[in-house]
Amino acid sequence: MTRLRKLAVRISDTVVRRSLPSYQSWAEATRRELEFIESDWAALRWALGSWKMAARCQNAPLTSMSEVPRAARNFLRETRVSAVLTLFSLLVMSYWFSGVFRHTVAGRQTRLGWGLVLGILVYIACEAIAFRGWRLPREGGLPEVANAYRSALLHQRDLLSGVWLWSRITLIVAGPMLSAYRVWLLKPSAVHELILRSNLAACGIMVLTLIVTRPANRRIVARYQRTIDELNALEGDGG
Amino acid sequence: MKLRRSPQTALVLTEFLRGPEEWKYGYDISRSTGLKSGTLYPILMRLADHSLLETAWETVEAGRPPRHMYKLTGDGLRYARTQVTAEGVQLPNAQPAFSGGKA
Repeated sequence: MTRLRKLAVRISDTVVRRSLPSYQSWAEATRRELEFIESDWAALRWALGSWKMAARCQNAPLTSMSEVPRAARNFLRETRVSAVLTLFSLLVMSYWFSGVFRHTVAGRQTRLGWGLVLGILVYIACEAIAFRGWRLPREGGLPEVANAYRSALLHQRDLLSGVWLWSRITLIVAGPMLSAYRVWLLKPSAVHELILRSNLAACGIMVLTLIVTRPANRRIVARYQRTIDELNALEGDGG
Repeated sequence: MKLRRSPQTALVLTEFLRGPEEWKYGYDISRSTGLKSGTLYPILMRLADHSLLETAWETVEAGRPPRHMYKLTGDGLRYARTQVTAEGVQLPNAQPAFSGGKA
């Protein structure tokens, strides 16, 4: 078996493993078809297509409580990756800020800068605490799993909207700006002016990206809310 | 799932109308319609959800894994005929999405 074929099989097996119970037979169907595709590239494209299909099915409404554990596991797996990446980037930023402000003289900007670093560290701590809670209970029944799933969904929904979103953006945008401005004030030179300008440009791009991705962000938030409503409705119906 | 009227759905229905009594395999439909698996299977799922498509697992032959097969139900046939007529779809002279199939 070639590497491409192995990759295709691996992708298809993952799709089967992660599919919700109501779509498992369809995932299995695409996996079986793989055996009848001779070309390795075609097999890989087929497997990637089945991945796309599975992603679409993940967004399909929950129809019964039996689907909740797998949906919750998939959701937690995906959000854990993004949470780890966010935490890592914030840690790097906080380290960078601390370096910049440690080597500058005391002043209003320095205090503000340190405040910002502290804000980011507090944010990281909050995230880490919330992250610890994102585990499905090993013991207990479907209601416990549904509760854990709902908490994670609520957390992610709030993270992507409202106060949490804007406080995060403020911290991320204000940090580099303040530090660049501070360095330029202390040592006005062409190089530091360039740094300040590039920071301004970077912040501009970041804000622009946020504006452009806002509709997608809202769709994600709406999807989380829809899943929360579905969970509530299923529990209300008794599964 | 909501049943959407799309050119891709019409292509799939047309393919089923070529041999209404025959069971068809996913990969074969993909090759003759030119649709990729990520597009084809959600259509098949929606058709099955609306009881327009019958699905079955093939009887196992020695050394070959069973395959999932599809055939339009009576309602499905009626629906396909009205949709294909409404869309004015020609029987496709489609380029295969994947080459080199065994089936």
